[in-house]
Amino acid sequence: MRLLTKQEELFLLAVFGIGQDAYLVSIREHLKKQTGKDWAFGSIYITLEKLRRRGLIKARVGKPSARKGGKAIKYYELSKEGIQALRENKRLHDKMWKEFVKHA
Amino acid sequence: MRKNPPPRFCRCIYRLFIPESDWNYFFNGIDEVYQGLRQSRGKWIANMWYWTQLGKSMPLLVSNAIGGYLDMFSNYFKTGLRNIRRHKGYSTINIIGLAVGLAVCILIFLGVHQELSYDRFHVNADRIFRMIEFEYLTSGEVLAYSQQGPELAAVLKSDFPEIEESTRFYTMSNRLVRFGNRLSYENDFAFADPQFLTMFTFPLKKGDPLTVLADPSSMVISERMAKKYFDKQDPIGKILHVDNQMDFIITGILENIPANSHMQFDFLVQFESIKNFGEQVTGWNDFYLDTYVLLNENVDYRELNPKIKDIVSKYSKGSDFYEKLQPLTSIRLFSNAILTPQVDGDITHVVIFSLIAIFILLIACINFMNLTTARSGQRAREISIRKVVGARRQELVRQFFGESILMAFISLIFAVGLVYLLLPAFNQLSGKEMTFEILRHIHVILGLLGITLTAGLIAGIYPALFLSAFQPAALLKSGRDSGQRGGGFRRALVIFQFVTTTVLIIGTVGVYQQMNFLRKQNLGYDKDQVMCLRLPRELAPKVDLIKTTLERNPMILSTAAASTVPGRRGALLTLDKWEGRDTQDRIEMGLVNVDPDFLSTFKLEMAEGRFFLKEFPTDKKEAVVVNEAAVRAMGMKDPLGKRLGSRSRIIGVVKDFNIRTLHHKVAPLMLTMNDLEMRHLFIKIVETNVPRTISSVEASWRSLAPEYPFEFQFLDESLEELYQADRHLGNIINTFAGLALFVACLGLYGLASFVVERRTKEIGIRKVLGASIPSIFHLLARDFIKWIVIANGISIPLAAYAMIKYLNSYAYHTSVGLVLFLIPAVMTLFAALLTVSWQALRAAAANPVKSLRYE
Repeated sequence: MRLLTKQEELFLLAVFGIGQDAYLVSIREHLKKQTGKDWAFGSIYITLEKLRRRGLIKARVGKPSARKGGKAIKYYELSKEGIQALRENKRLHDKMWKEFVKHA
Repeated sequence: MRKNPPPRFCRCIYRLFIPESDWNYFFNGIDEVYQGLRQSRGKWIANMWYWTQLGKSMPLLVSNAIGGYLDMFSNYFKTGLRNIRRHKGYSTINIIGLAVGLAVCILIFLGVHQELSYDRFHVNADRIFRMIEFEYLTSGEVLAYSQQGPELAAVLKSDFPEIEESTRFYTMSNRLVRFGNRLSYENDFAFADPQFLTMFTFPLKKGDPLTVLADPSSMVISERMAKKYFDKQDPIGKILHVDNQMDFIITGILENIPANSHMQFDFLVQFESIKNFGEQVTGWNDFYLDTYVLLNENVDYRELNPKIKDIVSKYSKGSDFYEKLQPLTSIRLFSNAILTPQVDGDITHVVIFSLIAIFILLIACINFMNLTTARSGQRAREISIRKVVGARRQELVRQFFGESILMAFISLIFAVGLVYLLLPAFNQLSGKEMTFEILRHIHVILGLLGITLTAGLIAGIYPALFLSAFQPAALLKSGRDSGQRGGGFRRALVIFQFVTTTVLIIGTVGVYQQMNFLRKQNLGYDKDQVMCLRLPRELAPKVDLIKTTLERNPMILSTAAASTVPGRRGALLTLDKWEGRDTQDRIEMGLVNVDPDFLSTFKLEMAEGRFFLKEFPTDKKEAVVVNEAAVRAMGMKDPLGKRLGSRSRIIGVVKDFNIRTLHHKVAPLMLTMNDLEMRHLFIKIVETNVPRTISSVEASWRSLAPEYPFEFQFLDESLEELYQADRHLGNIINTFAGLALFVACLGLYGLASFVVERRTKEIGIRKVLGASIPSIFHLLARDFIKWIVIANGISIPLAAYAMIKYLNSYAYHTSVGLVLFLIPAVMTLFAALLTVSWQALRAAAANPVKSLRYE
C-alpha cells in the first residue's frame, strides 16, 4: 500500500469533495475554506501534477465555456487507484489511532 | 482580460518551471483570481499578491524542477529555510546584501545588453557596412573619417558585384519646420537615398518602404513628429514647409527610431534634395556624408577591403584617401579611432561597468561567506550530528550549496523588485533609456538565473568546504567551536571588500573633481550672460539691421553673429595651401564665420594684428583671422600678411580660446567673414534683472521677426549640456560606489555583531575587573579599523593608476592630489567605524551581570 502525506491526503480529499468542478481555483478555495490556509498556486499545481504522475488522480480538459471567459480548463478527478489509496490510508489511520486511544 | 495583464516577469518565471502544455490551464486559473483581486482591491494589491504567490511557490517549483533529487533537495531546502528563519538577523543582512548586489548586476546587465544590441535589430545587420575613409600622414599615423563625398555610393554599387546596394546618409540640425501655425527648429533631419529603407529595417507604420522615398519631394516622419505636428490628424499627404523654402509631402510614418540605433532621425527625405540646403550632390572632395553598403550573402568583407581600398583615386585623380568597410554592428562600440560627428559608445565603459557589477556581487557573496563561517560555532553541533548519523561529506557540501543558492534566489526576487522600482530614477541619473522589455527574451532570463546560481555557488563554496571538514568527535566533546578558525581568510575577504569599495569611491571623487575643474576652467572667452538665438536663413542677409535694432535696447550690451555656437562641432576644412608651407601634411582647421562684434561680445584677446573691422569692406572678401594654434600648426614665423588658401590674407592672430569642449585641446581655427551662413545670433545682456531683460529682448525680436519662433538658450547652459555624458558617468559610478559601501558595511555590521556576541563573557569579566568603556570599545573596534587601514593602503595605488588613465583622456585635467585619496579613505573609515561602533558600544556599555549570566 502507498502511504500518503497529510498534504496529499488533503488534496485528494479536496478533489473528491468538489467533484465535477475540481480545477486549480476551486481546489484552492476549497482547501482554504477547510484548512484556513492560503496555498500558493504554484504549490497546488505542482502537488496535483505529482499526484497525477503517481496515477492517483486523472486530468481532463473541459470544453471552453462562456462562464470561464471562453477558456479551456484542466479538471482533476480521482482515479480508481486514488480512491483505493484513500481507503487504505483511512483504514490504517483508524487502526493506529484506536491503539493510541486505548493505551493513552 | 487581455487589458490588465499580471506582472509579465512573474509569468516568465512560472514558465520556466511548468511544462509548456500546461501553461494555459495554469495561467487561466491564477488569472481568474488575479483579475478578481484587481477589480476589487486595485492593481497594486493584485500585483503584490501575484508576486507573493510566486515567492511562496518557489521552493516547491524549484525542488520539483530538480526532479529526481526531489526528496534530498527538499530536505536541504527545508533545513536551509529553517536556518534562514532561525537566524533572522544574519539572513536579513545576507539577503539585503545579495539583493542589492544582484540589483546592480541586473541594472548593468540591462545597460550592457543595450550597448551590445546596438543596430542588431536590422534584418540585414550582418551584411551592412559603413565606409571608412582614411589617409596616411607623413608621421606614419592613419587618420580615419566616417564621411565621404557624394559620388562614392553609386560607384561602389556599379563597380563591385559583391555589393548589392548602397546608400548615402546625412543628418542636418537646426531646420525650421512649419505646418500651419506650428513651427519649430528640428535637429534630426535626415537625407538618404530611396533604397535606404529597404537596406535598413526601420519599420514603417504607414507607407511602403519600397516607394515612400521615390519622389524628390516625399518625406517620411517619425511617429513622435506625426504627433507633434499633426496631433490626431492623418499626416499622409500633408505638406511640411522646411526652412521656408522647400515643401515636402508626407508619404510615410516611421515607428520611433529605437534608442539602440546609432542613426537617429525624425525626418527623412530623398538625398538629392540636399542641393536645396547648400550641400553638393556630386564630386569627390567635399566629404560630409556617411556611405553604407549592403553586401551580397556569403561575401567576406575582409576579402573585399583590399579591392575597395583605391576606389577614390580611381575616380578622383591624385587623391590620397582610401576606403575600407566597418561592420554596422561594431559602429557603436568600436569607433574610437574614427572621426565621426555623432557620439559613440565605448567598449571600455562596457568592460568597466561589467567589472563593477562583478565586484559588487562579489562583495555581497563575501558577506555570505564571512557570516556563515563566523557562525560555524553555532552550527557545529548540527553538522556533527549529521556526520555521526552517517552524512557523507559530499552531502554536507550539497547542503551548504543548497542554502546559499536558496538565499541567492530569494535575493533575486527582491532584486528584481528593487530594479523595477528604481529603474526610472536610474534612467534619470544615467541619461539612458533602459526598459524591462528585454526581460521577455528567454535568454536574458536564463542569463539572470545563471548569474544568481553562480552567485549562490560562489557564496557557498567556502562555507561548504570549510564547514564540512569538521571532525565530529572533537566537536561533540568540546560542545562548540570557537569560530576562530578561518579568521585569517575572513580578514582577507573583508580587506578585499574594502579595497574594492575604496577604489570605487576614489573613482567617484576623481570624476567629480574633474567635472569641477572643467567648470572652473578658463575657456579663453566670456560665456556669461550670453543668449544664443538661431537665425533663420532668410534673416541672415538682414543680420546687420537686426543687430542695430537690438542694440538700441539699453539692456543689450552687444550682439554678434556667427556660423556656429561655441562648444558645438562647427565646419572643418582641410588646408593644404599656405605661404611658406614646408610639410606634406594637410591641416584640419575649424572654420567659423563671424562678424566684427564677435571679438568684443566674447571678450577675446588679440595676440597680434587686428580683428575684422566694419570700416574695412575688403575684410569681407580676403581677410582671415587665425588662432595661435593654427600659427603653430602651420609653422609660420611671422604670420601677419601671409597668404592662406588662394585669396585670403592673415590680418590678425587671436589668442587661443577653446571653441570646442575641454575634452579637446585648442585646435587650429580660422575665422572669416563670408564663407558660411550666419546661423546664430549672440546677445550679451546686462546682469541685472535677467527675466525682464529676456522679455524685452523677446519684444524686440518679435517686432523684427514676428513669424519666427523666439527660442534661445544661455551659452553657459548650452555648454553645460556638452558635459552631460561625463556627469552621467559620474552619477552612475557614484550610485554604484554608494551601494558597494553599503553592502560592505552591511557585512562588517554582521561580523561585528558576531564578534561581540562571541566575546560577551570576556567583556563581562573585563568590566568586572575594572575596564572602562573606551578601553573595551578600543578592544573591539581595533581589529576592524586595522583592516580598513590596510584596505586603504592597497587600494590607493590601484586607484591612482586608474585615475591617471582616466584623466589623461581629457586634454585639460586636474592633478591627482592628496585630497582625492584622503576623502575616500576617511569616508570608508568613518562608515566602517560607525557600523562597528554601534555593536561595540552596546557591548561595552552592557551590564556585566547580564553578560556573565549569558548562556
